[in-house]
Amino acid sequence: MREVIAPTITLVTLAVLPFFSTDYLTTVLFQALLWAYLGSSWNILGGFTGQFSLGHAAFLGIGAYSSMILLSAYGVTPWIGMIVGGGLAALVGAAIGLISMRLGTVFFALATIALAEMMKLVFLYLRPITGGPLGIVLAGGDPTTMVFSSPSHYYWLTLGLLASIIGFSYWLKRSKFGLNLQAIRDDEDAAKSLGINPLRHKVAASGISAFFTAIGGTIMAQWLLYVRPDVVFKIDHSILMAVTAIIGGPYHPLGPLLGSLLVVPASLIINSLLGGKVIGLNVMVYGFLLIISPVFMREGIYPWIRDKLVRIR
Amino acid sequence: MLEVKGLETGYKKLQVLFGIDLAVKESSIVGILGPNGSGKSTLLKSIFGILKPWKGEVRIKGRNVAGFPPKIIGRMGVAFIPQGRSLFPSMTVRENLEVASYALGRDFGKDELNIIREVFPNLIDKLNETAASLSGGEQRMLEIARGIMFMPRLLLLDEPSAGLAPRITDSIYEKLLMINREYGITLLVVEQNVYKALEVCEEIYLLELGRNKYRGRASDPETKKKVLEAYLS
Repeated sequence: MREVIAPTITLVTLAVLPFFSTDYLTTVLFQALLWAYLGSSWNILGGFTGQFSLGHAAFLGIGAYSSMILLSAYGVTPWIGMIVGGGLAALVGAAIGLISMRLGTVFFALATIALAEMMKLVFLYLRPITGGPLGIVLAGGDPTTMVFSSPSHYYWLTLGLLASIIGFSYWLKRSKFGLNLQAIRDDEDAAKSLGINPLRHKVAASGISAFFTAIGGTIMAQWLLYVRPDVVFKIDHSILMAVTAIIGGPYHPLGPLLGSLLVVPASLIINSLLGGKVIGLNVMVYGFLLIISPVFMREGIYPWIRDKLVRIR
Repeated sequence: MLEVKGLETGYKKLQVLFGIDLAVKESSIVGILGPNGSGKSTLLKSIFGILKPWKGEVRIKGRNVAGFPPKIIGRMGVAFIPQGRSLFPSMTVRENLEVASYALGRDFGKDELNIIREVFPNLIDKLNETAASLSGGEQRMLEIARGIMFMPRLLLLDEPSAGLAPRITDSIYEKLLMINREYGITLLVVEQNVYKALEVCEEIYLLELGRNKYRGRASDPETKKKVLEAYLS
């Protein structure tokens, strides 16, 4: 029962925020929530299973393109398109896992970087389907095609997705499947000696993680109203997903949300203050945070804050 | 309870055991001693099915299980506690117990908790703490708890004293003796701590280079002589 308190308070607070905020602030928060959602998706594989992907932009892009192509070429609403994109991404995620995971975590990380770069080229060259470097642009739409007039609507949609993945993460953490994933993360040999098949579990986790990531890709495309290879298949995206989870607390379902609420607004502020003068400063900040956070807080900020709160109570 | 006849096995092309014989009576405590490389751990692994025997028999309650996978042997009432590092450090004590239960296709519930409460009451207070936060002795107790929670008939232990202070070793063996006495669980222990083994075991098997070298009662002065000879020569 106590486990439900923290996520409920957090989500309810987030749900009422747009009533008290300006459109600009809601937009900033929307982006923080979207990255929290994407970070939570990444975390199913990176945090719970300990398989470090640096190419989740590949799944983000597959999701964004799938729903965009289905909508612009076939008139299929993104509400359905995002599920199709999720399914495709899950297949690709499972396949890349099956190919590279037997070789160890380092090879998996490298293979995922290569996957995202490969995807970028494939989508650049498949001009008849993807529109090549110009991508696909939406003229407009309405809620039936997942286009909204107010940023708060995108905000609530993303919050809903975030709530479901946080719920899923809580369930996963306690479930038989999730316990096996965590056992594999902690000590693969010991897990094997209990009779757990590490490869099968890791491949499944990779597919699930890719599925959720792709749905986030659809949201991003519907928000931007366009999709382009260099915009979705960006290594910055892959890194940001990992950063939110690692800084926030990769072992806990609320970790990525916490990390994202910290990192995303900060990097937007940095960019708007100094972005014109120092290009890529936000990436340097991610790097800096990534280096110092494991040194001071091995399990991210979440356990640290939780302990502080418990002490106050 | 357990009978091993002419067991031969090894790793890939390297043969380690050259025909081991073993007979373990129900509810007894039997120690396997021998210098490094004599094949003690290999023997336990091949009894539990982690290593496939090349030749020979492993009989549990009269049934030959040589070549059976660990899961089946586990269901026949055998539990194996490997030498160190078999816990999941970032998971809680409870999660460590649960994941082991699920792996055996069983649930972790009240009965299992009650057994652990009886044998290791101090672990019950730490169910929600991570395994990494436990002391070395507590970690060993958790490994043993994971082995006994389904009340096996035979417990295979690979060096339960490894890496522990003498005082902690004593308390671990106190628990093992209690498990044997209270529940009648048969213990087959590989030990490098010769004096401890001679003190707690009823019967000692001495191995050397993958063969039986000597077998005798632990209380027999001849056994002690032979064991010390083997280690000092």
